[in-house]
Amino acid sequence: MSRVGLAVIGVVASALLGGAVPASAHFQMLYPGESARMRGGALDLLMVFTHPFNGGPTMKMEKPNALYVITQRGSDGEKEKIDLLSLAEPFEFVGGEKDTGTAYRAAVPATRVRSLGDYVFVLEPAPYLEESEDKYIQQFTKTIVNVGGVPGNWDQTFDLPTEIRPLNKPYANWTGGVFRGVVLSAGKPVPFAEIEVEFVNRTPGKQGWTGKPQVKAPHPSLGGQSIRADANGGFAVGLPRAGWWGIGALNVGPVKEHKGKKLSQDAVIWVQVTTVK
Amino acid sequence: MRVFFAALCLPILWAAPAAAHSPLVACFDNEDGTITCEAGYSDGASSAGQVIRVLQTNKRLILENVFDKKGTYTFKKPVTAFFVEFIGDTAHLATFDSVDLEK
Repeated sequence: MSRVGLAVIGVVASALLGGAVPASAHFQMLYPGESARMRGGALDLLMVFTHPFNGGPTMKMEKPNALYVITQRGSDGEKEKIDLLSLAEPFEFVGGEKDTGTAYRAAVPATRVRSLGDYVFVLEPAPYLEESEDKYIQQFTKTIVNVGGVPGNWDQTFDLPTEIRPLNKPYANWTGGVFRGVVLSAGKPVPFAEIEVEFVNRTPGKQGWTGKPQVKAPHPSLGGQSIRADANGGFAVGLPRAGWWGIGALNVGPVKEHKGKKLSQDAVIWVQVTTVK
Repeated sequence: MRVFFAALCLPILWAAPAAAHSPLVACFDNEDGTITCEAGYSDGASSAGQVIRVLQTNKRLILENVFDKKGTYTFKKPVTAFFVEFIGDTAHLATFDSVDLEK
C-alpha cells in the first residue's frame, strides 16, 4: 500500500477514534469529598492526575512539591497556613479502564479542619513528563472547603506562580448556576487564556473510580470543553450538572522550561455543584 | 473529638438588607474539661464582642460573656446538659443544644 493510502487510513482512523472518544484533558485532582460541610472533622484528600471525564488514563504522580491549607474564619479573620505534605502517601489509583497510576492521598486529621470558615487546600505537584508531547506539565491546584457557612479567604490569591482567583464560592453553586474566575500568572491577569472545563464523570473511591460514567458526550468538544478568558483574564462557566467540575487554565505560568524541555504551568480550581431540590 | 453544632433560630428579616446575614455558631469539646465555641456570620462578619450565653436545658443561665476578637469563647464544660445562644447584632440568634452532640 502506498504511503498516501496509509496516510488516508490514518486520518480516517483518527477521525473515527476522535468521534468515538470524547476529548478529555489532563486534570490534577485535589478531591476532599464534600466541599460544603456543616461540621468540621477529618477528611481524606485524594490527589490523582487523570482525565476526569473519561476516567483515564491515570498519569503517574511524583511526590508533590508542596501540599498545604490556608484557613480563615470571617472576612477579617487571621489566616493560618498548615503544611500537609508530610501526610501525603502514595498509592496506585485504578482508572476507568483498569489502568493504574501512582496517586497520593492525605488523611487530614479533625484537629486541622475543626473551626468554622474556609479551608483553601493547595497542591503544587512536581512537573509531569508527558512523553507524547515531549513536555512537562505542572498544575497548581486549589480546592476550597467550607465548614459551617462562615466564609473566609475563598476569594483571595495565594502567591502561586499561576492560579485561578474565584469570583464565586467554589463550594456554593446550584445546578444551572455560573462560576466566574480570573486567570492569574505571577499575580497578573492573563488575557485570552486557554481554559479547559471538565466534569468528573465517576465517583472517586479509596482505590480508584467507582460506578459507571454519569454522562455521555455526543461530541468530542463536549467531554473536555475548551474556552478562552476575556481580555482581562476573566471567564464564566455554566454549571449544568451536580458534582465536581475542574477548570484549568493551560500554559499560563511564568516558567516555560524544565530540565531542557517545555513546561506548561497550568492553574486548576475545583468547583462543586449542588442540585436544586 | 466531640463536636457540637448549631441549630439555627433565625429571625428572617428579608426587608432589612443590613440584617440579611445569618449568625452561625459551633462548639467543640476540647476533651480537657473545656468547651470552645466559635461564631460568625454567613457574610463573613465578625462576632467579636457579641454575646454568648450558656444555659441549662431548663433555661437557667450558667454564664454570659462575649466572644473575643477571634470570635471564640472557651468555658468550663458544664456538668449537665446545656445549650448555647449566640446573641448577634440586631436580634440575630443562633443556638445549639447538647442533644445535637455528635457521637
